Amino acid sequence: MGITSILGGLVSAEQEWGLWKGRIGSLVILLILASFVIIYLRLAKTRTLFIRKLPALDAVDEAIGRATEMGRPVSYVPGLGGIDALETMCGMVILGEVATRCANLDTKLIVLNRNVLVQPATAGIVRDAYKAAGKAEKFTEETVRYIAPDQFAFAAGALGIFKREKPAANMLIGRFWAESLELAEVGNEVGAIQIAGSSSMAQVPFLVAATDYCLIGEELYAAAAYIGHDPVLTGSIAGQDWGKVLALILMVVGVISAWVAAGDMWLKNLLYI
Amino acid sequence: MAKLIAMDLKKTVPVTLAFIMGIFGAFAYFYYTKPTADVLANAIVFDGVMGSMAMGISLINISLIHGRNVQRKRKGWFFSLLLLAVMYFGLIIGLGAMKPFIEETGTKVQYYGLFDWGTESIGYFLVNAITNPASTTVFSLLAFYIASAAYRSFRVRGIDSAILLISGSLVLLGQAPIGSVIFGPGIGTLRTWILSVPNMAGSRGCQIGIAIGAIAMSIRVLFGYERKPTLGGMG
Repeated sequence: MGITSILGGLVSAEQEWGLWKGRIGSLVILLILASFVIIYLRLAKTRTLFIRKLPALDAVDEAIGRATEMGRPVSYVPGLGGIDALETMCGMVILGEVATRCANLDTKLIVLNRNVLVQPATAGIVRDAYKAAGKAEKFTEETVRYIAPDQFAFAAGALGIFKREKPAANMLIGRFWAESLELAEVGNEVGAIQIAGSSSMAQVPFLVAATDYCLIGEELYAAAAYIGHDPVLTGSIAGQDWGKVLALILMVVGVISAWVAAGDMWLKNLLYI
Repeated sequence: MAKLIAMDLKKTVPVTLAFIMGIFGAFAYFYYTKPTADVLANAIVFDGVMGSMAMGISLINISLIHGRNVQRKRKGWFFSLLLLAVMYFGLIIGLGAMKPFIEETGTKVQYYGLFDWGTESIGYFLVNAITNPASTTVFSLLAFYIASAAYRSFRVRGIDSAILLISGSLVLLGQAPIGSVIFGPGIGTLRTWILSVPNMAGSRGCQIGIAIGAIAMSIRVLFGYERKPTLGGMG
């Protein structure tokens, strides 16, 4: 794999070292946003911060409770993305909490994986949750299942499991592609309460249409911090919100300046240094 | 004591490695030196190496689940048996396919088997005549699921769903040839406006939020606040 393909092909062959042209503005913005998050992570250790509610996460307990009452399983798909995808990481964090609650309530959990690296990681997370709940013996190889590496072979396998095992709660949280709607529609067919989350703008409309609750875009990242009710982690959501305020200010300044200066994109040019 | 130290190392080493590699990756993204770019390129190759090893774990998982289905004669056990037979047959074929296979069109298909058993043509047949058509069939089901999801979404239950119904219908009519036959070329212009102005504005707002959320999540993972993705069962 060539260096240029990994780093975006912006470097010239003769360049030996130096800051990448066009990325300095991004670096400054990144440092500002990162400092917001770090400041709020530290502030959260000493004071209680107000964090907005996420209805989709509040529905997790309701969904697991319903599955427990009905004696049916909870199914969980941490997306089809690789382990390096941030959405998958969010899916794994939320899975840890879902597994803990399922273990505590003795509710059967089925985790379905497509990626070979996500499989052992999710198996480890669920095994840990069962152990922590003192129910290690309830964790079997059927709890976390590997289906197939091919996108639609995975979809076919997962749809079959939904139809046969009829989960009462279905959670689709991670990176999805075209199969998202198939998974959500069959989940709906079997009567499951469905909670979805994705930051793929192409899939979010499908998930919003077909599921009961959906974590849209950045809510997915906030949810990963919010679900454990860890006050320090929730601090990062406050930092995230200040980042949005900064983005909003930049947008307003950019629009006004382009309007006043008759199309002079000085702010855009500044960000592309 | 030694056990305690080992347990502590199991937690701290992956988190420290994740921190070093994450900071290194960010550094290499903003600052170019040839050695850092080379190290980053090789680090990415590790993903493939680990993936190959993890494939074995997944193979064991599938074998255990479906082997048990067959052993206990659970409902549909025959399909489990079929799956195991096809999976191991495919594995043997893949191991024995080493030479490049030339398609009828002249395209060269490269195989990376371990033994020279000459099974390239069988492997090619399995992929092209079974896997690809089956995959396309499952993909095609999407058309029906889109219709049923659209039906449920387009039921007017409030102001939001009414807006969705109206804008969705306009985009649909603007996209389909019958729309311009009934309403004239203006419907196409309206469709383009809906997609490129209100839709694009909403989408870009979400994308900005996603980028900021991704930065927050990355910081939590890099600095070890969020350990599950790094430790994955070692915590």
